[in-house]
Order: sequence, then C-alpha cells, then structure tokens
Amino acid sequence: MIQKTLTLRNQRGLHARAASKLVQCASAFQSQVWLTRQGRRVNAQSIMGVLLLAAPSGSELLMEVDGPDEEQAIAALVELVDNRFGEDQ
Amino acid sequence: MQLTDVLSADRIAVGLSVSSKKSLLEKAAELLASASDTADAREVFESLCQRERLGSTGLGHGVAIPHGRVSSQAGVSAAMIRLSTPIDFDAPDSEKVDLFFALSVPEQCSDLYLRLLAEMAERLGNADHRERLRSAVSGEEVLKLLAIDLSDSAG
Repeated sequence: MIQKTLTLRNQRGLHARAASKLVQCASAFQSQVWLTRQGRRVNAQSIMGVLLLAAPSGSELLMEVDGPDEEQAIAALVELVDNRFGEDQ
Repeated sequence: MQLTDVLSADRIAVGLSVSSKKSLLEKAAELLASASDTADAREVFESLCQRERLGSTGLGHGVAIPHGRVSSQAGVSAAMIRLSTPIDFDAPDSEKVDLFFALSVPEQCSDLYLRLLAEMAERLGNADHRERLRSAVSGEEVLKLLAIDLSDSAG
C-alpha cells in the first residue's frame, strides 16, 4: 500500500472530464486506487465515485494505491494530476 | 444550491423517443434553453456537442450527464430526459443509455458546477435511487424523488 497527498492544480478541479481521465488512468492498473477528500473516501476506478468528491482547484486529495503494480500506478496518477490532466490552466 | 433549484417539471421529459445521440442532445438543448437566463437552444446544443466530442458523458449503468459551458449565458439550467428505448451513447461500460441529466452553465461557473455534478453522481450511482428515477412517470414524480436527501441512507 502506498499513500500520497496530491493537490489539484488545474483551474477547474475534478470536473467530469478530468474525473474520467483519472478513472481511465487508475483502471489501467491491477491495483486498487482510493481517493479521500474531507473524510469522504471513494473508489478512484469509478467515475461516479470520483465525481462525488466535488473537488475544486487547490483541493488536497489523499491517494491510496494497493496491489501488485502500485508503484507504477501511483507514478502515472501523480503525473496526470501534476500535468493538470493535460489542461492548459 | 441543489439540483432541484435548477430543474423544473417542464424541463423533465419522461418516456421520450429519439433515434440518435444527436437528436437526444437537440432535445436536451431545447429543454435547457427554456429556462430563464440561458442562451438559445442552438448555442446550448453546440456546447453539448462540443463536450461530447471530447469524450462521452456516459457514466455507465445506462446513465449520462451531457453538459456544456456557454459564454453568453448567466444562469444555470438543468434538464432530465428518460427515453422509452435506450440509445447508444459511447458509455464507458458500452451499455445503452436511457437516463440523462443535462446541465448548461456559464463559462466561469466552477464550484456550483462541481457540486451539481456530485449530486448527479450520487443520485445516479445509487442503484435503488436510479431505478426509482427510471420508473418515474411524470416530471412532478422525478422532482419529488430528487427532493429526497440521500446522504442519510447512503452513508
């Protein structure tokens, strides 16, 4: 199990398209991925789960990854978030 | 602000029949644009299409949330459509879609938009609530269901 706290840098936060990119990325791995914001913990491999976080720009999210490819998974997810989901701002 | 604050019975269509994604989005745009402080249906339709081109707003389980930002609009408007026959909507689980919550927001709308999306995900992600929305026969019945606070039971 690996844990890491991430900060959302993209201007629009975890809106629907960013959420679906995150879910696609998380679902590409065998490991289980969980996200927690303000005490609410959701499955990061479910779009309905990730949207529930309603996380705006600047939010801190705790990411937990557990499984055989957890190191590759967390590296890919951190890169996606740090690259602002490929958005310009 | 909640979904029931931006939705009204006249923007809920149950038992509708459409043949394609495009005609669904046209109908959604028409309903969304009937609210006050919204752009005209053509502009709303273009924003919905533009968003779908970036990736389907299908969420799986036969539901989708078409939405778009419209720069010329000041208000936030929601609509709901339930089809009598599901259509192909390129959803991530490849299931056909019959239940739609549509949303039209101003360009700069951010926190409210995230909260409305979260409420839609909560209502559509709850299997029991989703089936009740699916079997509602009128706009009034849908609004009554949407007034139920799920946070008590969903935990």
